[in-house]
Amino acid sequence: MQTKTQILPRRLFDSRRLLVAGLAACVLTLGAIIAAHAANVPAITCDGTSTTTRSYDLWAEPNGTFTLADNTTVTVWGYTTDGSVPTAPGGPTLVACAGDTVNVTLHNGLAEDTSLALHGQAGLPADMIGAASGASKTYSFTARPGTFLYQAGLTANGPKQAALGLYGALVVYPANGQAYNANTAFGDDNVLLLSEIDPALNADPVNFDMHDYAPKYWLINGKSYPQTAGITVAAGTNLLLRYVNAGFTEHSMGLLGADQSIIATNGNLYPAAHGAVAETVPPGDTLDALVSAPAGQYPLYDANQHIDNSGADSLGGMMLLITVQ
Amino acid sequence: MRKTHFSRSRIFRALVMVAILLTVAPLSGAIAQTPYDFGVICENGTAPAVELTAKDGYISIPDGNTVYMWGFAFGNGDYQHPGPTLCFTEGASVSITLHNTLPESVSIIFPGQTGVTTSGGNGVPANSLAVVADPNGSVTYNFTASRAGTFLYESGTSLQKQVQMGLFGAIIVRPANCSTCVYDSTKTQFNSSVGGNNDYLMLLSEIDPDWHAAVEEAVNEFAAGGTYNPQPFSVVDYHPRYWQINGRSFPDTIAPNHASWLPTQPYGALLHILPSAQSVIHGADGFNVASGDPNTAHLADPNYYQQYPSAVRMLNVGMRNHPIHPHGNHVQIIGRDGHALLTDAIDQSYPKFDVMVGAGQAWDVLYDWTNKDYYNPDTNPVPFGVETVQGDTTDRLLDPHALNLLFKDPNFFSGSPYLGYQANKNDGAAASYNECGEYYQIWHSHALDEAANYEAGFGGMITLERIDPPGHFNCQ
Repeated sequence: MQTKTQILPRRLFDSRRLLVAGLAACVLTLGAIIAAHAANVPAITCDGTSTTTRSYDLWAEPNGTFTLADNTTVTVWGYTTDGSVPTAPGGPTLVACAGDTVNVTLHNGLAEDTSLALHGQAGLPADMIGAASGASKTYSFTARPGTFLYQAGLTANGPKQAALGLYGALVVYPANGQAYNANTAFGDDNVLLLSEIDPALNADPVNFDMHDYAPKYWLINGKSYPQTAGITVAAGTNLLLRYVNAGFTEHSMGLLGADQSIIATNGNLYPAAHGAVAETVPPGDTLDALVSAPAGQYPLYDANQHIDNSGADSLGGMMLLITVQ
Repeated sequence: MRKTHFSRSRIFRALVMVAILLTVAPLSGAIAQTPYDFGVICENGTAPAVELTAKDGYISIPDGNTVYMWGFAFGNGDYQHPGPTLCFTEGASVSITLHNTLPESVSIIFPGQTGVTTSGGNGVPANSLAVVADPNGSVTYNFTASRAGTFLYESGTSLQKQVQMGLFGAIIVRPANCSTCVYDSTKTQFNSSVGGNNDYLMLLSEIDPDWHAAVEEAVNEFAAGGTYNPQPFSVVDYHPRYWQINGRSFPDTIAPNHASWLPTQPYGALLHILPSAQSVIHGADGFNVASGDPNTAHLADPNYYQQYPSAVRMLNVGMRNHPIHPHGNHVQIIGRDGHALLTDAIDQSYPKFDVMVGAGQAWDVLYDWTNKDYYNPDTNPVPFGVETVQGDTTDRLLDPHALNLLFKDPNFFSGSPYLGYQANKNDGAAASYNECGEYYQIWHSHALDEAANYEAGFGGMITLERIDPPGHFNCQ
């Protein structure tokens, strides 16, 4: 079945960014609990039975400076774990085991109200009030398996805040190495957080009219091709792609040269998986896809063709390379 | 472009009239009958070795505009839009050689195919996903068509511009064991009787005419000895105005294949069917023919009733998702991107009345229409009369199924609610709009801004299905 490969040291991950995949390796034997995976999701151990309480702090902070793929810079907002200034849009990937109690405390470092929307979590009604500038608010829920989006909730400026970078991903495991159950086991999982930037909004958030919103930059995990972090896995690995669309338009995510098996959406397992070349991830939605391919290099890209950096005639935007070795 | 203002319904009716009359062979026999040409055309037959030439040309839009295009020609034949539909048998070793006459490098990518190898060409530049053929150069792609289904082929170089300009086409892989099935299982068999195969392609695309004009200008400048500007238009300014099915905008979509007045746009999108005795569509309209149909003696006769459904292969090569709506009907989704949802072992097919065909996606559906109510003027009349004059409620058609007889609005109504019968409209207007009492129903993008030609409705991403009376396919 799966081959044992050496566990390579994991790169320390920046709490403000998603883990960048280096060389991938995983160990999976029948009945064993997965020990490590070099995916871009923070490490966690879920044994499938015990639950615990996990607490996270998200500081909504403005005024980060971010360099785009064409070396222009924009101001971005983001969630940091310690109140520091963001260096990229977005926030950390939160992880939990199914059944855990998760407490997420939002600290508002903005000059305006903000709230947190934890899409797909039961018992959390839409929060249109949130926390005032300088204040904090805690959101609690019981985690269920799947891939989820969190983002700025529907306070008055919520949509702008989301477009400026207040979003992130939540990943919950039923047990290590499983997406939803034993039938959806994987050897490596990667969050693919899809987002967009309209520099005109970022330049003047207060006065920008969202009717004019027209993104020019398209990102996966905070980067545009060719700067997107690629995904490298060993042949025979079942790769789980966790798409999270934090943008405002649909993205039909396609894979060239290999198939995706679409297993779930919104953290809900389909009764049966279906194969696809490209599958639409609507705004605010998530999608889980398993890929198992022979050795080779496979471009993964937005088939809606947002694969440019501000219109330049070179491959860019919402694209990355999957390498199977 | 100047927008003209006509009475919409009048110009619309005129256009549909012209299109329908030119579509149907008249019954009188006084005019020579032309063979009716509809459905998928496999330009290569099933030959696994194909040559394509990237070249330029023009297409016409129903609003009178012409658009400069690029595209793949079959062999070194005439320019066509879209590229030739290529059909292969499952398991075939396919070889596609691309010759390039355009002023920049081009390539082809094959979403859904695995193990594509290349020979020749000139490497993979920074703006390409595949090995390119330089101007006046060639490249050959090889792969095994390992899965039945419907697939795209498109340029992988400067992809946004070259695909927008028309460098794309459809690939159909037919199961080895059944050439009239969509997938391996005979549960996916489509009708193949009178007139030909009820196997239809709906290849969806978009045109921003400003982009095409900018490229045309760049090409002309280069041809005149100037410098070639490969990016005269930025995708951030993309604003499509024309919406197409198989390279045509409505009402050209309902003209036959090889319509002589559309020499560079050979593929129509009219579904031309007979009713089916039984439906394969699960759910609301999966009915069977009601008793009382005097044609019950002919239920098993393929000249009267289709014994199998039609296959419709929806493919989207545009930048936007397109929700295709078979108005008044459902389709049965049987496959996605070459993955069957309906096999001998499983049935994960499902009905939809709106199919969101995302960018780069293929959706295979089966479709049939059953004469469920079998309205007959003598034995089973329509319960209420028909509102033939707007505002006149004395003769009001209330049966929701019969409402599907009306196309667009009560101004277009054939004159009779009975399949197979003709009648004049009660308001004394001109004779029936159909030839032999056939029905027309609309299929369209439900993003209604796309049901237009440069914002003038009706146009764009619309086609029709034409249901002929049992026993009288093509009004014979």
